[in-house]
Amino acid sequence: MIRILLADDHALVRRGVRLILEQQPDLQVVAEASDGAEAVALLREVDVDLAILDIAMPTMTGLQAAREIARRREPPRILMLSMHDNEQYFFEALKLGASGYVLKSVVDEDLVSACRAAIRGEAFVYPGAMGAIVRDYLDRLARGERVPETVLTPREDEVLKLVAEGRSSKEIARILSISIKTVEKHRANILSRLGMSDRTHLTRYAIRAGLIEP
Amino acid sequence: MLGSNQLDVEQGRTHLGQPVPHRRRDVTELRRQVGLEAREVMLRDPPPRRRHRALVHEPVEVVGLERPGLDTDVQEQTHVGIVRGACTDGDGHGGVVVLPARTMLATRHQSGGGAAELGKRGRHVSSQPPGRRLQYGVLPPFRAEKATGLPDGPAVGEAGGVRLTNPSLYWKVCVINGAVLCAGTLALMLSPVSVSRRVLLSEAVVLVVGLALVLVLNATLLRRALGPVDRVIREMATVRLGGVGQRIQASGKGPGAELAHSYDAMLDRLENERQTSNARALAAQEAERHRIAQELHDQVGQSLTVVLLGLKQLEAQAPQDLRDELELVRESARAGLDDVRRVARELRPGVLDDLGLHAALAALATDVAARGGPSVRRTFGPGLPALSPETEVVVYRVAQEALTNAIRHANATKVDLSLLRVGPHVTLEVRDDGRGIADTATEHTGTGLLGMRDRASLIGGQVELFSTPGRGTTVRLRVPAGHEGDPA
Repeated sequence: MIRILLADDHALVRRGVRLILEQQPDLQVVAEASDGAEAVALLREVDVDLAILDIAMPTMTGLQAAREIARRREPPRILMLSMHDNEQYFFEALKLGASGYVLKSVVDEDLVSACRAAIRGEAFVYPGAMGAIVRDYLDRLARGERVPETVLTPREDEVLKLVAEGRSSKEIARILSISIKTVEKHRANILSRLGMSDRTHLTRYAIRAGLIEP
Repeated sequence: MLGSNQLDVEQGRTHLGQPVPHRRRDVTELRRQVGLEAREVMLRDPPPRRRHRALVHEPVEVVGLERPGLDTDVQEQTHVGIVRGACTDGDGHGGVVVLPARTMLATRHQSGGGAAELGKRGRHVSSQPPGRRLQYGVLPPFRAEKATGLPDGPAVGEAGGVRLTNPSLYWKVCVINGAVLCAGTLALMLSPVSVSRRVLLSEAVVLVVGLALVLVLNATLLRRALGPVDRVIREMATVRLGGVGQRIQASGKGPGAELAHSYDAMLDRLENERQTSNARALAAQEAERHRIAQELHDQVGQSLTVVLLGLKQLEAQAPQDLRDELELVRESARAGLDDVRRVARELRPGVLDDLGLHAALAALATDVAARGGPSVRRTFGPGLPALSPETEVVVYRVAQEALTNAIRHANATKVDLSLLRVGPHVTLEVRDDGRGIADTATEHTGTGLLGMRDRASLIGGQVELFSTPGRGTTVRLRVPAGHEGDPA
């Protein structure tokens, strides 16, 4: 059973997220907070495995709360929820200690898989950031720079190109006539072949590529 | 500047408090009343210098109302009538009558017309006693003359007053003509020439040559005096605000040159005023965008998220035949949420407020690349001071505009974007390798340079544009680093 803390200033959003999560037999929301400070305080009392934080909250934003939480001994995994489709937020969240970033416009589709990825210790990379990473990879390949050895299957290669064009998993699934789950699997494979399966690698990469400030 | 006299106007002495509908015809009426009021007050408490009293013996003509561009605090509180009257000694005098804004606003407000801001300020009216203060100052004398006459709206600027007209152009013409005629007369008297009753050919030749000399001399002298006037008139026909290189720059000291100088000064003031008001409009627009973006994020976005989650939840419980329908609706809600996010982002990039200028500029750069634009190389210098939020917005918008130009107009393939500290300034530079601009002076409007300049002026920054055809364009913004500057 995965115990989850949920922080969002909008009560109805919290309720919706909670209902989605609790449809899964192994996920349980054990605490709810309406701002970052409350989430940090709650974590002192309740044991949780995963904290889901909205980025835009009053008093203390999700990013500030993530920084606080990540400083603790044995911090829970952190997942950020956000309206912003911008890889800057994603990498900033990683830098502060979060392991994933879920856009609110795909929260209904992605949240559960993001939770599971976070618990497994993998980074959940949202499509926009994936596009930035892959574009950078292709750029460097084109310039003849040394890039991680990759042996991609022809199918993965197709997925890679579509990701670089900024397509969502759903669009890619439609174009290649495969299921969304398969696309996600390909994406995860591509990331791990590029050596970016976890948070630390991704953050290091983002700093090196100049996507965020160190 | 204006306060040579300050008096209280007793209640009920004037008509200004009466409702005056906000229409052109009634503005004329308002002018008349301001004139009456000015005259009345000046009669009761004449200016200290005797010759200025003459002002009040004539009807006071109001030549301007509500001048903008005065000192801010004066402008905020007052409306100004600029009046003039003629003195008994023939000299004209200008006066500036400063009326509390409430007076005029009350007049307009009661009419039910006028802009929203009038109505907003008009709320103070009821609590305000009708007695009000009136100030006037008397400007240096001027000679009423139609040719160079009073500009319709002499700006009352930092100089502390204006020369309403050129004082000696008329006399200069008289003197030149007089001198030439005297010279001619003297020549006639002193030279051994005479004109017979029947004019001889030789005499006629001498007369014609003499006349030609007089005319040429007169024309030459007048040309020197009046040439700049013609140039001013020509310039006035074509001048546009917002450009550079349109100044006359007359040399010399004559009244014509002086006219040219004051014309240049007026253009500078107008340009200054235009820039200030445009910058203010931009700042207001920025604030409004910020508010709307926030609202979209916090309200509309959240509600749509709730809808999205609710539909997903329903879908799991709904019978099979409804699921497809529900999924369709859910996709539509998602599209709505995407739109809201996109619009909010276009209005105001949240990343600027949440993560700061570096992240916002980096996001700009990756956006350009993601949309298939040129590749953007970013350089952020060390030791950059923390900038105020207003400054950051300006830097961001200038970078955005410059990048847009590089993509849209310049066909660039590579862009360098750098933010560095140079002495007491922070410098943003956007350099592209596009096709460049042939004439940087004329393409201002097309490239949005004017907008960038106006924005920059808001925070005391400067925008420069360097370009060579075929070799790219560089936009450079310099802003003061500010005092709060511990390195970020």
